[in-house]
Amino acid sequence: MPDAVATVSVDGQAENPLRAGLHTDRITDPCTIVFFGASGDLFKRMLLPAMYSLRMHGILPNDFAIVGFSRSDYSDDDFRDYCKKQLQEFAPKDQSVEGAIWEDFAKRVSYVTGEFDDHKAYGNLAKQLKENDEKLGTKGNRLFYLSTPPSVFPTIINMIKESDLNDQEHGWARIIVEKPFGTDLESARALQQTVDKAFRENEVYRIDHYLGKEPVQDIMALRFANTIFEPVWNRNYVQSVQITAAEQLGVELRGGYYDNAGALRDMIQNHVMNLLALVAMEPPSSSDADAIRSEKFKVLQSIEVPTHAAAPSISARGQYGAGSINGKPVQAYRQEPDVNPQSNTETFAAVKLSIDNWRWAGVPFYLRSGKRLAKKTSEIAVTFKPIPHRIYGERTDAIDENVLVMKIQPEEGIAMRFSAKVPGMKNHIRSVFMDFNYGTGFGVQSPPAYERLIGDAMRGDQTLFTRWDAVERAWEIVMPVLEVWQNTKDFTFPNYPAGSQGPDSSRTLFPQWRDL
Amino acid sequence: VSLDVNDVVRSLARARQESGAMKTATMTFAVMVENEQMAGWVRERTHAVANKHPSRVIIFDALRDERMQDVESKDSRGEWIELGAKGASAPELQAALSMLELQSAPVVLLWAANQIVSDERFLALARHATATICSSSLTQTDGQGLGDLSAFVNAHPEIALQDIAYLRLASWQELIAEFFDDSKTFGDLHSIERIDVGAGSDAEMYYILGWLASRLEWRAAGAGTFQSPGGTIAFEMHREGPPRRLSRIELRAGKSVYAAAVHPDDQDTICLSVTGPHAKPERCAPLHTVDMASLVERAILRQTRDEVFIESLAMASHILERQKS
Repeated sequence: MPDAVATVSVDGQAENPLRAGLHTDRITDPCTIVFFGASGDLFKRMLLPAMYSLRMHGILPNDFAIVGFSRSDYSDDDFRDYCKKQLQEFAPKDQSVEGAIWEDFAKRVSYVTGEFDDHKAYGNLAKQLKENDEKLGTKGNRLFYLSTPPSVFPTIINMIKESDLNDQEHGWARIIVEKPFGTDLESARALQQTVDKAFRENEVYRIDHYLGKEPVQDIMALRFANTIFEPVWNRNYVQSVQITAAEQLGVELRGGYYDNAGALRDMIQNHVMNLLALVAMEPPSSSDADAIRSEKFKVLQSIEVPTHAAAPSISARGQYGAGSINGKPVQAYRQEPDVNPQSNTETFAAVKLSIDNWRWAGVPFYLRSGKRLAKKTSEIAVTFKPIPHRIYGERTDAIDENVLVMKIQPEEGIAMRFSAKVPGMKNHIRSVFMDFNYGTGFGVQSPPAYERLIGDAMRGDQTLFTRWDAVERAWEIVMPVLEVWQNTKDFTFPNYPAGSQGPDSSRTLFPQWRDL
Repeated sequence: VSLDVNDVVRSLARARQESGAMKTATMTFAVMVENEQMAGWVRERTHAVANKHPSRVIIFDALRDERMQDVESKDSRGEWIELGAKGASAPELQAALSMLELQSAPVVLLWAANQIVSDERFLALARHATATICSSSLTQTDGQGLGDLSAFVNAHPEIALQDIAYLRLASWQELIAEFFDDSKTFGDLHSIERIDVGAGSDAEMYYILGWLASRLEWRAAGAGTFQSPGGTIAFEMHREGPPRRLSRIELRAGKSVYAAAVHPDDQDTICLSVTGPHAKPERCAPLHTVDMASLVERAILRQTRDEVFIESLAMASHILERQKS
């Protein structure tokens, strides 16, 4: 978390003199956070533990409240018991779910039962919010978190508006929208129209948990807190950029969702496109959220949108068949639960994009993501151009290009490949890797992404959330490929075995993919 | 006998060659140890700091003979050097630090010896450091050293000094400040009439009072009183609870009482209450960042003079003078 100097204006009139010089991570605005879909998996595994960690780390304001909203029938006490049970399972083991802090946390938790389109339930929610303002000092500030299936996002947003819960007369109202934001360009625009009716852009937090990961944030630190990289970060020195988000997991219990989505929608349009924007954007004028988000949007604007005709030549798709992961046999995608046995959905997507601007003209950006691949790896590899003239090394020595790898998961760090002389009488040259790992480098675990992002939304810091113009542009970029894939069945599916490097067609697109 | 660290330099080079691992280091962390009772505790805390911020740790152990030297290379996370420094002079210590520090990395000094500003070794090492951390409550439990520390800070503006006794108050400062973020309670900040503070050692009490007084532009008027433009503020200090820990603070303004106190059953929790016209139900907040590793980390990350600390220290020193008079 940023170590921000706290200077709080009291109702815009005078500053609290005790705040001068205090360096605090604590969020100063009281608020209620409403979790729609509070009986779901995301809430119990990620969001609730993130809230509790924020409390245990002293980051939540002391006047806060949590309201769970979902269809399951719980009383307030039932829901508190449910939360306690989930925290005992999913909270970090060093955080006790007993004692004074837990008791204080629990009394700030309440629950509203209802269908997402039930007016009465929103009336009950309004009553609960008012009670929180009066009894828990949350001051009319509210943050709505949509952790429901995307299909009900518009319903919830409309109901929030109809119930005047987005009223900002007595405090602020913000909304966190989980990904995916739309399923294509048209549906994303329709969702945005709904959002626009209830919230202003500075109140909307489109979450992509990738952006909350420490190594993703470190991309900017690497580029803009060092002088040595930026001078070579351009077409004069960079040969290509590879962005990989590979998973060993299959679709698990998300078959129903995934079969309507696919790798391009699920990963490339959001996570991977965000990584591309961070690695390719121009230096922002400041660390201000809009300065950064404007630069990210500008670089996405510079990406050439492929034509439908060109789409097959700049993309590759795949679907996993049966194979083995870590020596254990796994079934084919089409045999996964809730997946159509004749499915044409891609579980692997690779795309080559070009950025038409002064910095990157002519440098290909290769993006790939897939499930059931050989290894779980997310990384960005910047390959530099070969040396222009060879003076070192024996004739048989291969002098590899320099590569800078930003490792996102499972390892978090930075690796650099460079050439060095092998000790001895001859001038043999070998490639060596200098490998910096955050875990061993700093000896601490990075804070979980959701903890960081929820905290930022409560602070009103939108830096790590995606602005609408960037979401829309990312959809515009992938739409031609998406449409071609939707309209043409790939008869080679399944075309890669689980546990492999992906389909051969990705090697045709780009032979130099780094091995997983 | 002089402090010769050439063997240490050779051991470092050898250890590096043997391990073959790339070293990550953020600083040279020099630690002066002189108190037998505290030596183990200081090492343990130093280890925690170095674990998070990989460092070349140099322990100057004034309890041990100068010929005692040991180098441990800790995988990729820096090195740990133990140097016997009994009887070593200030110039010798400074020269040893100079020889052993990592080039291009900041030097952070943690001073855990019996005296602070009156010890010439302190000045010699502090001048060489990017940031210096001492602990007035570790060495002088009666708070007398705060006056000397204040004079030292004024005389040496080039030294970025932090006192752990003050850093330890960060959570309390935050929670006290929060009482008055609300527009309804903000006015009470300027009508405080009485303060009661409890701690297991004096330095923390002087610091919290010094911080409040310096922020609110009060002056130390006499024993147990401040003077503000609005009137007189009485204060009382109570020795209670474990050493080096604040246990409670209570601010009275008219009919309002703002109280923060360590939970009776949980030393890591503070209970907050507001009674009177702006009453609130009691709340509990985690008392985080009280371990020394976290406190040292705060000082490391700052690395510049902390003006609020310096003003609080100066005021603490004035309060002390008035108390004595």
